[in-house]
Amino acid sequence: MLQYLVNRVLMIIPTLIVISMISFVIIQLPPGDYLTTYMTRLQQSGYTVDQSEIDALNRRYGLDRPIHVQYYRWITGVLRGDFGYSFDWQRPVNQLIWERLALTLAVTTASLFFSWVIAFPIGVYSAVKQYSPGDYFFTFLGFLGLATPNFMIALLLMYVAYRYLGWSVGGLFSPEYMAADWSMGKVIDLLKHLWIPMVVVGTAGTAGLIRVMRNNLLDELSKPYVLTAKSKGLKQVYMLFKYPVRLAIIPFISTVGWQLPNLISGATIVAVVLSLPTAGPLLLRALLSQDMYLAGSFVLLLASLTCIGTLISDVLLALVDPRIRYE
Amino acid sequence: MTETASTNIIDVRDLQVSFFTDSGVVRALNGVDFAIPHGKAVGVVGESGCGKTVTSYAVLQLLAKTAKITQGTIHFEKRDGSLVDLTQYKPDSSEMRRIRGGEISMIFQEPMSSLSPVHTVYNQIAENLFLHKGMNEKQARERTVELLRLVGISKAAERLDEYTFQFSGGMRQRVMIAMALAPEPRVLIADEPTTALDVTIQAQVLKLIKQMQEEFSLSLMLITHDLGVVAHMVDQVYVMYRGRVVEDAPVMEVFYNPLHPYTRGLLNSIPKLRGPRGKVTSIPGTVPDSYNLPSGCLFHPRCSEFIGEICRRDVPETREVGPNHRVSCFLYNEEPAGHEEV
Repeated sequence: MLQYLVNRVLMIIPTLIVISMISFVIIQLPPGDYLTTYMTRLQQSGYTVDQSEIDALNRRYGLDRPIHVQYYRWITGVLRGDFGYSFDWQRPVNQLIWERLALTLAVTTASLFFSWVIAFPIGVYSAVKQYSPGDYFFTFLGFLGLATPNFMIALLLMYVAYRYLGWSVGGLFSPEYMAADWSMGKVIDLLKHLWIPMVVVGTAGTAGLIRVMRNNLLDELSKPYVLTAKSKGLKQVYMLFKYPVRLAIIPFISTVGWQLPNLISGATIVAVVLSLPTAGPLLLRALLSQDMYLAGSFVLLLASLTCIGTLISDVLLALVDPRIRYE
Repeated sequence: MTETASTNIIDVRDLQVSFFTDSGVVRALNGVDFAIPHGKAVGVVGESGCGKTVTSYAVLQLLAKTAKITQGTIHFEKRDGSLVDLTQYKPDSSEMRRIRGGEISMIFQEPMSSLSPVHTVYNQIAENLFLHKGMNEKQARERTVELLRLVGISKAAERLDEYTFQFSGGMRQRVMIAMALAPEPRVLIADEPTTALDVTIQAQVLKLIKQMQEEFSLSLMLITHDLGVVAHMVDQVYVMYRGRVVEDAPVMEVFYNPLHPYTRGLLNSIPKLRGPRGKVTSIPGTVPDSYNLPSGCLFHPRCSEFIGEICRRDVPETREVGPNHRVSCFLYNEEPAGHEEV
């Protein structure tokens, strides 16, 4: 088990190195760089830009160097905890991303939790009562959830919450807490706002997870060990949860691995619609303005989170399935 | 007829089971009669799809949701001596659950897939001890070690906490047997217990089952498609065809004096080691389609001794033709061997 864990953690390192290179190159791929974008913007607003000024900026940020030198300077900085400087915001990347990442993680975790809590019992019910009216109802609801665009649900929920409940919606904080330091009140305020993104982001995943759980359990229910368990004279519900459900959650758990990155990247549109201060919109803006250190840092951190998500799901899998543990 | 129940621990009369599927009703059992006397072993033999397994599932009320017992009785003599009809119990009722597992245990065909891969051997065996014997953790552990030793698993104390995928096929079947014996049942139903095993292992497992049956004076129901398997294992053999018992007789009678053409066909399809070398014959045709059962005797389209219109028209009655030897075939209709005592 320990060996397995160590192996899995060690495998993350080369993965991250490759990801950091690829993301840095991809961000550099569009023609031009931040300065050309910046110049265009200045010229459009009527300024004349002096070429020597540009050259000075170029040298200052190292943009005139070849790409591998730029990468090397950035990545050695990252290893020291310095993620570079955001041209667009005129602030170090470090000051911009951590709170956003934390909030992203909060929204993501909440959504994941939400979809599991909903999907698990419904999936079990749908499988045990296959082809019952209840099963058809949830299947219908599930496909509806899967087919409805997330931002649509977001707009709908916002409307309902604002119009009929009179809540302040959008964002993760009420205006009075927006710039405030962290306090108990702010946390409670966050929780009050968290449910809309949680429901919105979670819905699509939930629908998929219900199907996964239902199919897994149906597979397991027809296996011979279920008959053995029944022949022991166990109570129906106890038997169901001890044996087939226990085995059906194994593939269910492995879905965390792909749910995490899904939730982070998939949540961008929702975050824009709901004006959430999460990573998505900031990353989008950074990419548009070719704010390369900010964008690169984000991509790298999101990739790390994905790796960690996969690691967590692998560890959970090893915990619930002795066949993996003993290999 | 239930008077016989005093000598029989299980007495099944005119059992009919049908499957209600989307494409129609399938009559899996068309009036099965069989009995297991106290402490004796009976074998149930027949081709795939003849209803052997369905019969055993019906006894334990393990039938699929689509299946229903439409007629008949399954009398069972409980540990306290009272006689109950198992068809009267709901499958998930507490009475039925006490009997299923507690008094009647079952060994299944595939030891690979019939045990849970994510629970330890101890966990799966001890469950029976908690449920039916009311043991605590410590007692259950000791008892599980004893049981594993009993079925011939070496280093039982160490292997207790292993998972079933760490065992070989034969060892898994031994675990299965230990599990079935844990609640100290009075009836053991073994459904093709050796079909999925290597030939050398088969003999060992059968020997173990026989040994356990004698040691604990269990009543055994051995289901198999292989007549060779029952020879040394059972006292009485029931030959089933298409949801009916066509012949039942003491085991030696079946081999030396088979009467029903189907039983003879089954015997002829076993390759012989001694005696003149002949071709191994098979019974022509296949088991009839469940949706379109033939009229009259269900075996008549494949029968080599077909005697005419009567086979096609009427269902033969079961007649006693010798001590404990019954057959249902028109060949033996002429001269019923007197009215025997029951």
